[in-house]
Amino acid sequence: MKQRPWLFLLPALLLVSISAFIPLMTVMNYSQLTLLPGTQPYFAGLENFVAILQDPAFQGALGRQFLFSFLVLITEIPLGLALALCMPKDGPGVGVSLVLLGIPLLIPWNVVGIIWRVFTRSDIGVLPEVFDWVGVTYNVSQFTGDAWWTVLAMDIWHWTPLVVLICYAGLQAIPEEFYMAAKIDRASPWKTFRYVTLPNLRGVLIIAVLLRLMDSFKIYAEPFVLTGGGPGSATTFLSTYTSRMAIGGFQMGRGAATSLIYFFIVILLSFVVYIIMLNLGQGAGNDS
Amino acid sequence: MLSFPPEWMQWTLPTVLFLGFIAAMLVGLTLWDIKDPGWARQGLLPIDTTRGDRVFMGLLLTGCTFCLWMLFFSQTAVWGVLLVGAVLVAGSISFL
Repeated sequence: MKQRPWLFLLPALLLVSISAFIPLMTVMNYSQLTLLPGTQPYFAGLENFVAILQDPAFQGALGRQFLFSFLVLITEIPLGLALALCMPKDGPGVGVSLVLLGIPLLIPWNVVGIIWRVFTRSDIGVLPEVFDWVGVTYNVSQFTGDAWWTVLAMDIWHWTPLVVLICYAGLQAIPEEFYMAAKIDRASPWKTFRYVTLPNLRGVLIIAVLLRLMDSFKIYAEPFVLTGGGPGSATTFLSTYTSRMAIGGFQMGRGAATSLIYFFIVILLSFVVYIIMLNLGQGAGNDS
Repeated sequence: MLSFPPEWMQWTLPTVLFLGFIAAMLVGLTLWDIKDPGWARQGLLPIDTTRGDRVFMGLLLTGCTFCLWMLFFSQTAVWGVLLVGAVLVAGSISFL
């Protein structure tokens, strides 16, 4: 009878082993081989890892990835929180707001890329037209800055609603008594936010930051459709680099090594951010 | 005809050793915890960590060392990574 929970767990474990463990092990095996189409694989040891880590293109993609994820986090989290605080707490406005916020989240990644591609096309796009009116030259295919902020704006448009929804759910769960107590103590709006709202949102903010961090690190379809990684390699992130290596370059071994390094970086970064946020939250709780 | 391990997975000896090491470590940690249950405590880091947390952090540090070694020294004396990794895991369990 004591073993019954394990029996219930068994189907999930089997599913995880098929969907995650076997592919991961295959990638691990491939990462040590030289695999080229039409040839026999041969053992390369750590050669692929050395080649990838010392490749300036990989280092560039990694740097861009860190910068992109940093910009995404410092923009989307405060913006999402601010929008959640502005949302109505009851009445018909709640439903309308939730539906409006949900629309970008329902659009598939590649469609988002296509929508923004149409927006930014120099012949028919609305953005070049608007910039033209104010006398600014705008071209995502030519200018690095334009490509960067457009990819960033696209991600903010697509994913800030997720942060808003998470924060809104967290705000709804804070008991009204806390705010009444703050009002009785004549706490200012800033102090109420700092010592009541923010500590109570710690859990949901950790989830929002981790989700956005991991998702921004995995961004692929949107910039691929919008800029194709260009101009040059200005918007080539780790995912684009990996797919080019494995599929475009037919170097499955190196692609597998890149995937493992990529996987490791995401785990490491998520763990570090999680620990930092957990610690920050505890500090805030003690202060109050 | 089915074969195990499957041929398409292209199994290599280092992967088998790595997997074996992780599995042995998980079994070892479980047995250690059954015999001498661990508890969350604070070490060098300003957070409470369990034994499993500290092992995980040691493995992450070993992974970082591996990447940095490959970046700066290529495959020169690559066995040094294992030595540094063992020290890092042992150090993490003791001090983090």
